Amino acid sequence: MSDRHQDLELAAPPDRAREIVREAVAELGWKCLEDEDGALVVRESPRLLLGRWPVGIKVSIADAGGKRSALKLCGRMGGFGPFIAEQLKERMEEFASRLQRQAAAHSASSA
Amino acid sequence: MAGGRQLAGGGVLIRPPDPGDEPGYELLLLDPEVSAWLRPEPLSPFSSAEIAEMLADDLRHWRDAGFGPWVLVDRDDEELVGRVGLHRTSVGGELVTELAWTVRPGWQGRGLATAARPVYQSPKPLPLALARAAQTADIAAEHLKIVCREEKLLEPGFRAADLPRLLRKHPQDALMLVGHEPDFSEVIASLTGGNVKMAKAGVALIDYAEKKGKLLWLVPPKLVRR
Repeated sequence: MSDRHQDLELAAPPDRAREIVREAVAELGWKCLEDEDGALVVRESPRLLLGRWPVGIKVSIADAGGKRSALKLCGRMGGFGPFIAEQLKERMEEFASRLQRQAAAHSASSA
Repeated sequence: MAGGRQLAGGGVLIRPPDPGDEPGYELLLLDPEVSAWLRPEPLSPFSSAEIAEMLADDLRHWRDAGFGPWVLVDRDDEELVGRVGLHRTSVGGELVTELAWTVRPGWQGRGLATAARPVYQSPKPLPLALARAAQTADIAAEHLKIVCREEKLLEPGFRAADLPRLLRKHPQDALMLVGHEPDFSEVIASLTGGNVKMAKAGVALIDYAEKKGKLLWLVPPKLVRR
């Protein structure tokens, strides 16, 4: 399996950041669950076409102060090698930028 | 006996997947060790529907690209023991070809990767029809204990007019040719004057001389099977 970690800060308090993650996941058509320690578990729908394995991301959210949240994204994909590593990186960056867009839209609408 | 080419070292055959391989794919992908590797937490294990879709995708890959993941099967009980081969995927918006490789835990560490390499890394992967004909020829050669050679003249488009050249290249009293349809039906019709339809995996015996042939028998696959 392949792992990748990414840190991210969102301009939203933790409760709102959780909503943002859930909204982004729903838009993507993925699944979002909550694990025992309160982290969100995001599962991509299987995309077997073109041989791509799905990605799973555990999202831990902490208060970063000043109505901001610190997100820790721990992503995993089946298999190994440079192609898998690149696909995992692509997918996590795509997910992270979607979260940031969503957070920016939220702060614009609440301003 | 399972169809397919035998890998060096014996015990395992390699062949393209077929629609009946779904139980074999389940055996492979639902194995706890394989699943932990290909579907690590927090992902959920493969569902039956995903496995069926994966097999369908492999079959499409062979049909569209002319190559794809092969399956490795136990020579004795025909159980699927692995999946290996070249597979197209997309990285950074570009289509690339990767090596897909999964072997059931009990079969790991036996050198199957090395043994399968000449098949899945052939410089020009065989189109599916050619791969099937090659496998059929391998099976026949093994049973009959005869030497099997690839012959370009037998590729799709083979005609009766090619026979004299082929016989000059292989000057034997008896030759077994494995090829494609409708070529073989047309060649037999041209040699014998008869309207013959060769079924897939059917066998015909032609007594050939002076560019003419006499059909001695034609056996459908049901009878060949035992």
